[in-house]
Amino acid sequence: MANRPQRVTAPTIQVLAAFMSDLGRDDWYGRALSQHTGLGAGTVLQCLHRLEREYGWLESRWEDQEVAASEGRPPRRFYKLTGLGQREAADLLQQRLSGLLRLSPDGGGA
Amino acid sequence: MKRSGRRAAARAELADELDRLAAGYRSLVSNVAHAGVHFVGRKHVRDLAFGPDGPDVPYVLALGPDPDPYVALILDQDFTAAFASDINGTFARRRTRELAEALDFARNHPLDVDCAQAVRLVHLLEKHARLHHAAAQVDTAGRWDRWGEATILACLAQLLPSVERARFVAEQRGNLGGDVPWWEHFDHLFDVTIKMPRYAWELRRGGWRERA
Repeated sequence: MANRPQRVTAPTIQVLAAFMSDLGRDDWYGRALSQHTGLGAGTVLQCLHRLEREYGWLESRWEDQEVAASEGRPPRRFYKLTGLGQREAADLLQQRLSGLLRLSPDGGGA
Repeated sequence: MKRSGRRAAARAELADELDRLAAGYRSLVSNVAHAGVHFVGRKHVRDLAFGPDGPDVPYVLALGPDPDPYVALILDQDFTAAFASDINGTFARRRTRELAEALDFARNHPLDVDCAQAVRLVHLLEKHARLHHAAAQVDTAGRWDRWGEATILACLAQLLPSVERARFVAEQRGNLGGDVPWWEHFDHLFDVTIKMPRYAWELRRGGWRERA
């Protein structure tokens, strides 16, 4: 059952921003996200777990075994945003962004 | 030879045998196509020709364009005998659980197949052969690193609920696969290790919540 998060941490925002930066990409995996965001592998692991299992914002699948084997490595676990995840992430990032703009000197002051 | 080295050698050997089986089926399909038949059946003629203790020789029955009657043909006796011996030998030698499972798909596809099925079987055998060739390369290259890594991941996985362990280990191995320098392996494993207690707690809490 998907829950709406009561508190979204900064690393989770970073991970969601990575997903939103390329919505067509469906082959994000743990280390790629870690490299993209600069977050530690363990932090990304926790974020992915929460986003997939607790909130239902992500869905995951295993990479095709033949593709992985042709590159001589084990298959990866790929993640992508669900429809719900895209809507929620867009809302969340917009809220954060508008909050940042209000705080900035050019944002109208708050 | 170390265990991982033996495994790599066994995989390479299995891949070669699957390649040979694929070549056998391919030849069979080609022979049958030349004979203008569209069904090939495999019948053990041990009882008929040699008695119960005779060799396990496949007897190829071919149904020609004229469906009446079944025409008994042995398209190439040497070939079929060698092919049967190859298949039986492969199954007999592969007694370990992992390799026996890998061969189950072939065991379930005897020669009692139509040509279209045989063609699919050739593709299937070739695909498995490629997978095992690739897996043998993975097992051979840098196996010490993977041994250490697999041990650490297996130890960490003990903190997780049992249903999550296999996925955790496989996912982290996937993350660390490919051309990843050793310091990134270290960094990755270190970070996962220090975050592990909290991750394990979250997974266990999720499980309790679901049960409640």
